[in-house]
Amino acid sequence: MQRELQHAMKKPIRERRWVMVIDLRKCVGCSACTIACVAENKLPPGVVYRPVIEEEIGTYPNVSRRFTPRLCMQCDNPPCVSICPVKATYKRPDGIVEINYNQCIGCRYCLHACPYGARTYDFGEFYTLGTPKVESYEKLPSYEYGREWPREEAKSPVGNARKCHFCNHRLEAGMLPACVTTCIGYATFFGDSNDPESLISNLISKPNALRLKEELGTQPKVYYLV
Amino acid sequence: MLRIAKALIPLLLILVVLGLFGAWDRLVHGEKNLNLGSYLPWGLWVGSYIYLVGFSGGAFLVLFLYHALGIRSLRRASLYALPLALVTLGNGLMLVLVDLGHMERFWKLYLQPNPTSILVWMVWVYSVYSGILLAMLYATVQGREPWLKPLSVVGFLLVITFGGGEGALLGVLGAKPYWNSGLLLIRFLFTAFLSGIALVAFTTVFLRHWPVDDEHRNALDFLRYFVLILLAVISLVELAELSVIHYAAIPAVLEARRLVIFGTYWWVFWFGQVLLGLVVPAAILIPRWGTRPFLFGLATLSIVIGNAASKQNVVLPILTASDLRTLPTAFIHERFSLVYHPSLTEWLFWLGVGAAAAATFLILIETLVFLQGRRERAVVEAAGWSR
Repeated sequence: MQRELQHAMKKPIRERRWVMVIDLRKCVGCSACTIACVAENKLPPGVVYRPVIEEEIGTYPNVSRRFTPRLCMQCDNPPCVSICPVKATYKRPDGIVEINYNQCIGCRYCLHACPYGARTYDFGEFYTLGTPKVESYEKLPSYEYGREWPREEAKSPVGNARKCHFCNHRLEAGMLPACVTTCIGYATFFGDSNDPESLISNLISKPNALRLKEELGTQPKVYYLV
Repeated sequence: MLRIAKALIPLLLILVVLGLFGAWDRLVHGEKNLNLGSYLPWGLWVGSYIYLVGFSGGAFLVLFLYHALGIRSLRRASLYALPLALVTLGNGLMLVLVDLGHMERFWKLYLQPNPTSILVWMVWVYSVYSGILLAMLYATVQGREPWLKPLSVVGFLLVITFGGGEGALLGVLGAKPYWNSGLLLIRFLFTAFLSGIALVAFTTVFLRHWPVDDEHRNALDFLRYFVLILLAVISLVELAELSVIHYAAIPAVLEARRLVIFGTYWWVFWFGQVLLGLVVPAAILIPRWGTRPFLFGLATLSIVIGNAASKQNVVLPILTASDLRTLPTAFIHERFSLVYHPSLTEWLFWLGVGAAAAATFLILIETLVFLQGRRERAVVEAAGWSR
């Protein structure tokens, strides 16, 4: 995947189409991806990009559990884009749905529009709020969308909608998204679906590759292997 | 000045001062002290905005009926309707402005808009509508009667646009199956008319500057029939919605409807929407005693409260249904709660803005009634009539 990523990054942005595949048969629900994402993007309390949904299926004694990591689906027809009143969220040529934090007015309309509940809102909280001092490590910048975002009161991304962006700042540096590299069970795959020889193209062509809420026509770019 | 206004204004000013604490907290501490979350991102302020702009639109209907359609019995009510339309709009827009994460970027809605977003269109319509209301206030104060008819026609078209547009704001969201219906536009438009007219009627009964004469009785009679017709229309819309949901039996929509009726906010539906919004006013207004001013005033107050509950019911219970089952338990934090109770900051600011709007209304009606009285006296004196 790493080699394929670096190969894809050599192509013009318009010729890449990022896709993520999550093999639910391999996911053990350890939530390492959730934590890796929180650490990578320095997410504050109340903001999460990739929670793992746990479901119990069946009744005792015939019970099983299913774990479904849920991130932004980077839809090809994203309902969040058309309803944003100030064009703060848009589709990039490589398929990633981006939020321009400095453009977002914080109306939270997009939170309602997302059928996957993939957007969270940054209410400006700190983990060490209420202690004698808000620790300086909480104010370190995140590097989302390839820019520095120091965490300061009333400054973006505080007061903005936030969501997964496939760690595009890491992609630019030739690295896979944090959740992919952290997955202990090799359950998460990532790559360029415009490359017919890539692992990701192979996986999404399988009959057991499904997408959430297909019926809405949002064309998600996250697939689940079931 | 009315005795009740004299008593109310100091109380309202105290509430305004309390509201300033809420405003201070919001400005200094941002949104940290709001009890909102990512699954319930809109609360008291946005819920209130939805019905407050509805009040404004409904109050404007009285202006349209009087100035454009020439229904003379609404002469006095129209004097109250204009300030009501103004203060309820201002109140609603202030609440929704403060709800923005970055209020200072509000200008982007005008200069960097996304025309595919209905929210932008709503802001533009509200802006023009505010201009129309201010122009009508100016025309009323300056005695420029000929301006009022064209202004009321344009204003009414805008009321229809944003009255339905409010419903469209939620109706276009395909992610929420319960909202995603064209019927929501019709429901919002007619509840706006009903609640606004009821509010005008309520103020003309309990804050009137005139005796209970024939003109007053005629106005109440007209308003009573109008309110009854609107109640019937809204009941029909509710029934249509309920039957379609029931027989279509789409699980997500049924679940949302169940939450409205039996969920956390079940009491808002039964006591607010059904009892106060429908049963009490119908029980008072249908029999002959509905013409008695005091009872009529009570019925309209009941409608005002019931419709506020009805609008909150459209927003809050639906948000307590998660987009994906068990998602709320996937990551535990209070910002991912499906239970919402407004925080002290939210309540204080809400009360403060509401009190400021009410105080402005009381002062405006005193001024307008005074100006109207002076103008009528001048006409009488110029014509050499004696009273």
